[in-house]
Amino acid sequence: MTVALSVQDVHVTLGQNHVLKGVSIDARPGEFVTLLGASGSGKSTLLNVIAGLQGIDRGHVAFDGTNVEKRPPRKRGVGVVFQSYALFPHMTVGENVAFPLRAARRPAAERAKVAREMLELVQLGEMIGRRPAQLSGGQRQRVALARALAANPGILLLDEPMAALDKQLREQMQVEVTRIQRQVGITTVSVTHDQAEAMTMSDRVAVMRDGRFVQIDTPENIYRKPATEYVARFVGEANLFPARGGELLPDGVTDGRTGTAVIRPEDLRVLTGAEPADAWSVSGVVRLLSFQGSRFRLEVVSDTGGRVVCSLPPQTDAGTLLDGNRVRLGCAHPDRVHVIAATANDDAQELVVA
Amino acid sequence: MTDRSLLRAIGWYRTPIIAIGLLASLLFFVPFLVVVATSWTSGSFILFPPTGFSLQWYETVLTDRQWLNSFWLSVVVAVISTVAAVLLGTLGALGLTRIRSRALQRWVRTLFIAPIALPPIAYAVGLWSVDRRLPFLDDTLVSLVVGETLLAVPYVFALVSSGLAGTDPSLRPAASTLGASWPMILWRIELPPLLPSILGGALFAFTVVFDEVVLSVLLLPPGTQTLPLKMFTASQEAFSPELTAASTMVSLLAILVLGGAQLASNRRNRAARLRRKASA
Amino acid sequence: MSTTTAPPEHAAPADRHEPGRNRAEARWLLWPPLAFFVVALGVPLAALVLRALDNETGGNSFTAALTMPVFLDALGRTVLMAAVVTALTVLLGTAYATAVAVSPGWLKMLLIAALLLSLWTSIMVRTFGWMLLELPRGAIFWLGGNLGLMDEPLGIYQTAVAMYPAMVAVMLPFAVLPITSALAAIDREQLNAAAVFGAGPLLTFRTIIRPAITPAMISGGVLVFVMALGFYVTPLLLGGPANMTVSGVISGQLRTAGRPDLGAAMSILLVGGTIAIYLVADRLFKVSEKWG
Repeated sequence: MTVALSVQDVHVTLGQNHVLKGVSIDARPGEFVTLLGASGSGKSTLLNVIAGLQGIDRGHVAFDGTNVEKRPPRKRGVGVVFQSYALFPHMTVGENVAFPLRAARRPAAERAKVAREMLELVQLGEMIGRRPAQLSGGQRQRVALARALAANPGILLLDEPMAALDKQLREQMQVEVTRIQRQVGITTVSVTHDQAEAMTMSDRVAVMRDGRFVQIDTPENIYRKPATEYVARFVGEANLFPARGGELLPDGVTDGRTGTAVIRPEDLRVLTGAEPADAWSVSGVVRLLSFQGSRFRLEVVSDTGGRVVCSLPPQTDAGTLLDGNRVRLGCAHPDRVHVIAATANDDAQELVVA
Repeated sequence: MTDRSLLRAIGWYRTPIIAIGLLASLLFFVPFLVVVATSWTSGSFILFPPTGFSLQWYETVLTDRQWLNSFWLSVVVAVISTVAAVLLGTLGALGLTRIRSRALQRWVRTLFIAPIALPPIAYAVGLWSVDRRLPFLDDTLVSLVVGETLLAVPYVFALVSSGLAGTDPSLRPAASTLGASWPMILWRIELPPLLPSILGGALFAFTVVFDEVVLSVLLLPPGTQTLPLKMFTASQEAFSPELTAASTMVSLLAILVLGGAQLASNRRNRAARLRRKASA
Repeated sequence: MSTTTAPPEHAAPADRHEPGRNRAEARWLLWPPLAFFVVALGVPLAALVLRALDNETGGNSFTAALTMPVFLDALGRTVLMAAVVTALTVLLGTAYATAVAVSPGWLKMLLIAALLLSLWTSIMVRTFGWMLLELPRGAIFWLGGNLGLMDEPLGIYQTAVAMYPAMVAVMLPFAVLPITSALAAIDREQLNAAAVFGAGPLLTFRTIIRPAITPAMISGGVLVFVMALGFYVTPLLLGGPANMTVSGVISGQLRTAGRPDLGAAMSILLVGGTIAIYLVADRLFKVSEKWG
């Protein structure tokens, strides 16, 4: 297997804080990997380690099999899109994009040509003479991307690339950035705390917590088969129930528990009473039913005191689900129930029932 | 562009506060106007109100070698000290951002601002004592220029530092990931946006040095005088309208130059704002 | 792009900062100004100490200075003067900065112009202006006479009363500027919130405006105080011999009394005191952070 980027057992300490506690991850050529985590999880530090902006205590960083951890950022051949975009305010858009070639002492004609090509790539060809201050947020982001790609780097790094954009533009730019990344075919590592963004854009998502990777997998597996309760809760909404082996335990029973079952809201349904009596179910009282455009979101307080969230199709009869009504929920897709073994769980002790 | 929130918060106290402000502004205007008024007297004494009107004293000053020499000496000293102070203050402000330790950063910042607090006469005695020990400095402007530079450094440092505080801290890492070496980052990325702050600091430094009188009292070679020193000694000898005429001229010159610079920078800022608005 | 392998490992502990971070960078930037500070500040201060110890009469210049009634009187007067000037300047500066913030357009321009006029014209010129105002038959007397308020020549020239307006006027910009920027930085939503919850001007001032501008008032005040301790020209020209400041006494030791060793000893005491006050205030109130 060819490896474009390899991070091996990297440790970083900042002052008293052990920010990265031995992280390892590989990326294939052209792969889009997202580091997903809450603030303080170490994801930005890892990005800076790859960029060379942050030194490491021990471990290795290799690009295409060559160790680079001693190389300064300017000799690593990475392109970085910063959270603030870090466009040089006193230069035009074209000068910004051509800057890496200027740093590499390329002739002016080549610089102009590359700047034009890169701006065409991000569809901002006509903005070449503008200043960054004259651009909109989405345009600035694309200029930053063009600049990061101009010197034909081996790896593209995106630091919270969508954080400065409003929601609508963000979704648009997620598609746009993915298109450009595919077109260029560049190995990309992105950092975000937005799980929807991670899901949309990545080939693989690496969930970080407290300076470690909790799970590295495809977006679908991260969602369907979370490795720990933390991942289950961090990525999408999750209902957690005690389980033994591969089976759900009846609600309220915790004896013999060996793991935690994850049921996504859309996999629960409201039972009508026609189901077999031995099917697993959870009973409770409706706390809130809210309409969310394409679906209903039903929140129930179970008889054991837990909170259960259920996502219902739009044809649901809302009249039967008034606040305070008793309701019984069952599993709509037993095959999709995923059980996290208690041993795999980093926080199994914390909670038993959702 | 009135500030509605603040106005509402101040309430009816607004009028008395503005009145106090206007009275206080008299402290700035009135002495200057009196100086100007007495300078166009046609008599031979400083009198208020001035008797008659003539520009004879302006002519006297402008044809007097002593006044002119002292003016040019002040310009020379101020130019050299300003250039040095701009260089040192800017380097210091940039260097401060490279210090990782917060405590050390604080000490260095304190050091760069400290000359503002230095009592000029005591400092002048120190420089004078150096001159006594190093006789080859005696008839030169070296100690004066060094001293004036030190007094001017804090103003440049403060202005450039606050300019730096307003820039995006990720510009430097961005440039380094794009392949730029540190001298290139300094020259092409950091300095250009700081230029207005540096120019502002230079003007401030120039005014401070040009007006400074205490160091020149002790440090000038015999027979030479800077303009403020010439004014100082003239005021203690004969109080002639020459003095107020010279004062008026140098003040008007300063107002023209500094006011022009202020207008230019205001216009630039406004133009930048408009450009931004037009494209938004 | 270079594809050379990483340089050989060093035995030194791992560099936690940017790899290959050029130490030359910090060196080139910081060494020139620091070296200049050593030459321009360190050497003269050392020369002062040597000068003070080099006493022709064989005694100790510091004890001599500290037992001189002229010096002690001047010291007390200077500290008192600096304190009064600081208090007046900060109070007036707060009002002035507030007035600038709440004035309508043209008045705001006028107030700012007055401030800039004072910053741009030399202290000598401004001091002459005050002399011309305060002379026995000066401009104030002329105005008072014309208004029928005064028939005897004004007696304030070369008294303490003459110095204060001039010194406050010289120092006022140093208080107004930081307070102006602190006022501009107040969160407008907080002011709106206070108004919505029914707070009147006094309550709003006490709870929102004053806490927000207090650091600026303190740092401006500290600066004014230490600068006022070094006042020389203005008190000399307006206050006269009876109101000699420490700076005046020092200059007298050199220029007329011919005792440079005493002057040097007094200079050290003045510099030491001033810098000590500045350092303590800086630790306590972060004065230089507001400026740098």
